Amino acid sequence: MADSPVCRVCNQNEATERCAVCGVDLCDICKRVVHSEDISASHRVKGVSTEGILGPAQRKYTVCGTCMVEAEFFEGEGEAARDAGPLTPSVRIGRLEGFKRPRKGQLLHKVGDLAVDLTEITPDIRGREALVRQILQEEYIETRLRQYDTRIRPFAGSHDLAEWDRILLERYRPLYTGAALACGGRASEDARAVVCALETLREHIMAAAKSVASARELLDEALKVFGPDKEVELGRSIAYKACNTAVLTGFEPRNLGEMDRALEYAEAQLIEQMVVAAQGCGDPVDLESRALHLGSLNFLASEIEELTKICCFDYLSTGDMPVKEMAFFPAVRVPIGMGCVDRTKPVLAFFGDSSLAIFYTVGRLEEEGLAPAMEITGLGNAGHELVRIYEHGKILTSTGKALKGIRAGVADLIVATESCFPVDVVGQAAKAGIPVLVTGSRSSYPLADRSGEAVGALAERLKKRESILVRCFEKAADVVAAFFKDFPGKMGTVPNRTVAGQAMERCTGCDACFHACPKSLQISTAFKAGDPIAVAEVYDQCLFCGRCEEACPEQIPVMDCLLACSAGRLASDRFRMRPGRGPLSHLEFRDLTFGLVLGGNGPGMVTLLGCGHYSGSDEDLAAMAKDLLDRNCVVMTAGCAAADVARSIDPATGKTLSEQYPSLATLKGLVNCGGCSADAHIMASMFKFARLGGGISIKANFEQPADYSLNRAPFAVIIWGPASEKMMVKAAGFARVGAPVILGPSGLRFSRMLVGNKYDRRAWIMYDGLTGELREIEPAPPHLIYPVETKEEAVTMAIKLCFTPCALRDPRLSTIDNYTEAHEKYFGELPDDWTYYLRSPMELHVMKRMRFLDILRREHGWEIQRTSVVKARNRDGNLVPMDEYLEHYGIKQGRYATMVKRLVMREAVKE
Amino acid sequence: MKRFDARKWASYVRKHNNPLVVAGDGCDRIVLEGTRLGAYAARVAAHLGCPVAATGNTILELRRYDGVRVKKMWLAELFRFLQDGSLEPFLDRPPDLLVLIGYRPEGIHGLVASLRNIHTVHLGPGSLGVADKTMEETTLGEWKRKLDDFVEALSSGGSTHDSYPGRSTASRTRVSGPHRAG
Repeated sequence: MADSPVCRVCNQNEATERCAVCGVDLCDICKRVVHSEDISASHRVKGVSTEGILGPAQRKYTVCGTCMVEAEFFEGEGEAARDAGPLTPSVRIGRLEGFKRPRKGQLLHKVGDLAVDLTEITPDIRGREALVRQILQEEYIETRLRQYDTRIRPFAGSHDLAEWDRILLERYRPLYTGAALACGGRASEDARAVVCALETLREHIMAAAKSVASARELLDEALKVFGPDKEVELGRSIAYKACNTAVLTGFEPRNLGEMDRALEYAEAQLIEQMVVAAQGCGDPVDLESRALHLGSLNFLASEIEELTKICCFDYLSTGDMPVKEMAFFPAVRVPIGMGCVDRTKPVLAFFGDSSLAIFYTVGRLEEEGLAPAMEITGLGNAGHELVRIYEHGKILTSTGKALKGIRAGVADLIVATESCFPVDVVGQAAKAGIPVLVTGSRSSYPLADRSGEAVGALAERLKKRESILVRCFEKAADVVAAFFKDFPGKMGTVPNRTVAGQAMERCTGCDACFHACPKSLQISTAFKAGDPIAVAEVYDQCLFCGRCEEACPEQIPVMDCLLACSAGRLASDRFRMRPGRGPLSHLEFRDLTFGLVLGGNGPGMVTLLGCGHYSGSDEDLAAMAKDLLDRNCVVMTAGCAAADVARSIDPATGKTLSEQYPSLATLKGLVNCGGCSADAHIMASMFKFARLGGGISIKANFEQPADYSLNRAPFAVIIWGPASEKMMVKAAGFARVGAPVILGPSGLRFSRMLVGNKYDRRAWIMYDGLTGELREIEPAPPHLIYPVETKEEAVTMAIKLCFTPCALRDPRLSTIDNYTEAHEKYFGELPDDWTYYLRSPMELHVMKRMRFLDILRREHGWEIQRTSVVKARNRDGNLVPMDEYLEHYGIKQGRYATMVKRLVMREAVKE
Repeated sequence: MKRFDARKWASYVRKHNNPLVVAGDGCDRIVLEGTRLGAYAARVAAHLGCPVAATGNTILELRRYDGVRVKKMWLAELFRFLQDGSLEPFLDRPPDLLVLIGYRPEGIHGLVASLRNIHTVHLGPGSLGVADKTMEETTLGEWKRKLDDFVEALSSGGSTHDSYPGRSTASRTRVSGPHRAG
């Protein structure tokens, strides 16, 4: 009896037969027997069904009730075949056999005493059964499964995660800022929304494609060299090595072969979004959801790239280091700035996003013994990649200011690959007399492909200042080595003060440059005045985008003039930073989780990213970092922002920020993870936070960690000086997982923000996690993607974005204190909405409590008695007792709450 | 592009009951022959008797002008509130006209285009095509003269000016400059 199969329909009786269509076991009661008739000519003789060479005309089948309904059968056991009525098509049984999804209850997995129906928790279990069983085994206990309506979605499509995206987009509605909005003419609001959402989706597709392609290039190279079984191992300090991958696919890759599988998934998802965008129509919310999905895929690709770099290309990583040694590792040894380059030596500069060009070229120069006698530098992201593999590398400028580095004539040869930021490297380098060697399969510059020419001939072309294209990285490396082996002498032309002065005299004051300049710099005013101080001020503010030169009818080389008049500033452009350290350790995160969430000793963790596309002598980011570190924030950086953060020297100590603060993910810690793709480590920290703080599975489970992070984790991201749509797709990825993003100072150039409305109280609600009751909460965090104009706005808004509805008392105190202090410091007045976030007088800093209680009494009409709040003014404007105020507003401290209805605890468990 | 006419612009602006001046970061950075752009924001607001929504850091400079009610605001939030019909506490009524100054066109192009039932006047820098009225791209000197003429036209009620490029000799209300510390 124990071994007899049980009927899968009633789950009680012994099964005697099996459904001919779906294969489920059936008992005598649940089975159905049906006849089908083949009425083809071979079986019809004088109107009577007869047996033919293909067998009997009539067949009898055993099927289950569901299959009987779905198929067109003649019903009834023992009924004779009818010979009347219209002809009916023959029925082919079994076409879908093997394709149909398992029925409810057909696939069970025991966790403790609970039988989990896999078809309930995974929409399409086909081909995923083993993976889902493994996730259940490793990640879940019976209690947790009983508590929540669990969903496990390996290889998630955008539709799988649309539930969470819709929740976000309902509260943080898109605010479209781009030109697409203005092109709608008399179109309806709905039509405009579709146009704008499509524009957003297309931007995100382009950006994500760059990351995916970059990862694919590197991974394919690694697979060729190491094979699919090469292990992916980050070191003993790293507990969760591939969170961005695991949360979407359901697994952490153990080797290159599994990384390949994960990247294939990302590529397929990217293609799907491209097809959707190509149709040119759709539901705006669905299109925005897909754009957010691309944000997550972008980080998956970046993570694959980072893992490959660390495991296969010897990129610097602290993964194997004990945490106690991490604080001062890596050493602050990387020179930044054009003033740190020894121009008496041959200078090579890399530009672009491909790290393979750097890897092969540096390796070749080291083999030839040329490297020690050269300056090997990088512009933008290339510099950050360089210094993680080559100890003596230098970073010249950020990507956004690459033109400054090129036109300054520092380099003698530039090796360029594709870049997320469109820069006419070849044309601009030619103005400075510098040849460019373009390499890589994705580089798109107007140059003839000379890959077939001999190395020596190619080197000769470069010596004649001719820019060339050589696709193969290895060959390009050989050409570079040949160029420097027989170095022709300095190639770059430093802008000349006399020539610049003559050029400036041609200025007619038409101010075309002013109107072309993204910063509205008064260039002609400075030029016509002939005042070096005025010209130097323009230099300090200049983005070096080159639009002024394009607009100038007199063809004045504006950038050369600025550089020539600011030679002293170039010489003093020298700072130091730590190279990127790679991933963050388990212990750092364990401590950070308690330090921020429970301890509340700082407002939160703020990540600084950006491309350097801003004015202000590159000091904005350093100023922001310093301000945030002084407030006990954890500051994380990656990419070009990491170098800009170091552009500040304390006059008292002579130290840069990197030297003043430890390289640890801790309060008052300043961490540089690496180049542009290394922000995947920062993104992974959002998931680690949920894993460690909430015990939430991060395998094929997106909404839960995102819900946890948004409502508990005080995280914010500042993207300063974004230069391309790549930063927008990163913003989407961060926002989707609950880390709000600030864009500035040119953030409004990008087409879509996600802005909340604090006055729309219907949007600020959460479910009490135990009762399911809907509760009104504070507008926290107030926005998901928000543009600002100044760095003061950025710091103030970053702190405000660290407000979370489920914050405990001390974290809330820290955020209120820092928010009000920053607003007063920078704008001379308190914010008008700080009272929304106050739940108790104990959340006011003890040194300022009396002042704020007095403000509450005088300006907001609260009833205060000594240091107690007797009555508070609620959002309806009514004065109510404090207990009643808290009864109807906000989440009780320590109470579980969620934005996702199905994550409310089940009734059965509560009983 | 229609030729700038200070009187007509002033008349257009005065037709609106609830104008709001919105001052952007350019007000702090742009100086026109010794006059900060923010001064024009203050003068326009004073003559219209309307408040100034000071975005960026402009609050610090603008609050120093007498006769001007100014509040620190956040640009994207302002447009969100305008789209949703939410009213900021310091505004008595929803605005029916925005006078934008200190914003580059590419930065607010889409935001302005999204507005419904709210007119817009863009005082520069640059030319904002989606605005109901906008300055042209001219030299800085020309731009300053237009702004001066516009302020003059507002101060005189917009009834006694010759059209640009002539200047009126009518008296005008002077807005006190920023108080200097010390």
